[in-house]
Amino acid sequence: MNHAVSHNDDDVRHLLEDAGLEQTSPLEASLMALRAAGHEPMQTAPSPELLAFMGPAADPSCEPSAEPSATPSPVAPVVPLRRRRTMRGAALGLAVVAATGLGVSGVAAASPGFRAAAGTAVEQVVGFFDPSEAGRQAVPSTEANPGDADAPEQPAFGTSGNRTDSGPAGHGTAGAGGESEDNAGGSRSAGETGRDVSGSGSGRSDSQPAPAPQPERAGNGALQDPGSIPAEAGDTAKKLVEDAGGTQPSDVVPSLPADDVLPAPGKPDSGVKDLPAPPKDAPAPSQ
Amino acid sequence: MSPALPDDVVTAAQSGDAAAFSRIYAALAPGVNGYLKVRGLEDHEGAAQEVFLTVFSRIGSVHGGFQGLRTFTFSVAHARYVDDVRRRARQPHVSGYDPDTDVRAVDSAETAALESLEATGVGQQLKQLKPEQQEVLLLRVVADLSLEQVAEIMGRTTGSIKQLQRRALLRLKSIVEREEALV
Repeated sequence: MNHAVSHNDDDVRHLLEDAGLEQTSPLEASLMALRAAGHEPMQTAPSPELLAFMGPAADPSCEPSAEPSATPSPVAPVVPLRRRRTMRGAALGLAVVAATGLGVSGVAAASPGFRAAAGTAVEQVVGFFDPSEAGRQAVPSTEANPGDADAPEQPAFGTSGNRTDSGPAGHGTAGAGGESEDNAGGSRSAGETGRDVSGSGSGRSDSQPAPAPQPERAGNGALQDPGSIPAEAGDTAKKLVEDAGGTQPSDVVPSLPADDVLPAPGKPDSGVKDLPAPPKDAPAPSQ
Repeated sequence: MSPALPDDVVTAAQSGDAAAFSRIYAALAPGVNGYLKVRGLEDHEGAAQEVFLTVFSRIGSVHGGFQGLRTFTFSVAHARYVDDVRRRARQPHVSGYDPDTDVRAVDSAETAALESLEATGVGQQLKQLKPEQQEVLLLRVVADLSLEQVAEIMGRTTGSIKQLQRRALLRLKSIVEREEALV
């Protein structure tokens, strides 16, 4: 204690010497009292936050007024939360993709024109990266009727007779035949030719009675001779027919029987006897 | 004078040693508490603990060993005092009614004697100085800081701190001698 007092006295004297003042007892006593204010012990124990810094190794002798019960820290340890942002983002992305796919499939199922439009869009995108592929596939798609979206998918190596026949018979439109010819590699004139041929075929079947059947040539298509090629058809169609020579349709085509075979009721020279007329007094058959 | 700690204690505290925090608190807490008490803070002990909370949470940025830590600690304490002065300036002082402090009653002889003793205390003497002079004397005497450290805390040059200290001591000397003459 005496050493501390003497040390404080030395500090106070040194302070007064630096200031160039004389040492007087009242001033020195006042400075000593002021200095003693900085050595008073803390009256309260450290707060729990401070004890968290000091931990259980805090020396109780450092805080003379500290209560023994205040040494354990009541602050709970900090546990970092688990981060689930990555999992959440992946789940959200998956849900968005699934919802988009469901919506697109629903629209495709509801509207038949959506498939053609989607196919056109896909072919345009493919054509952007591969122009040679697009020049071969994009043309029929752009001219295609939405109802005939399956037409470009038909085999291109069929006979011209079958193609022109299946077009109007299957879909009832004259444009389908032209598309088939065009898809087979023909030019614009070939498409128009196919449309004319199919139109004539359908008109004949509706308005004119069936002519005398020709078993060898009686095809069910629009052309009179299924194996022949129209004069207006392009060279491409001829080449296709020549290439597919082994795949000609069979000539065995069911035909109508001759007129002399079928009975013609009501004609006296038909050789078929009519049924006897019922007697007039006979009772009328009950309906 | 507060005991000086080796610089290794500061290094250990920066690495998270709990015992080092305890030694720093034991060495500097009385000085900080006395500084804030003489400055007139109502809850000086609570303010001192807030100072050490700030110091301990930023101890990784302290440089200069234990003396650097001492300077930083009293810088925080000085900032707390300034904050308290500004808060009191903004808010009106509200105090409850205490019958013992009602001046309309006649004090007893013992109370009058105690008040006279408090009036002659060092706190009343310091209140007669200018705020800057009070600050210099407190940091030099109570906190036991050097002129350079006080200059760093107050944001002044060392020469101006030396002049402030001289004027404060001259003013305190005249006050003490006048009170001695009255007694």
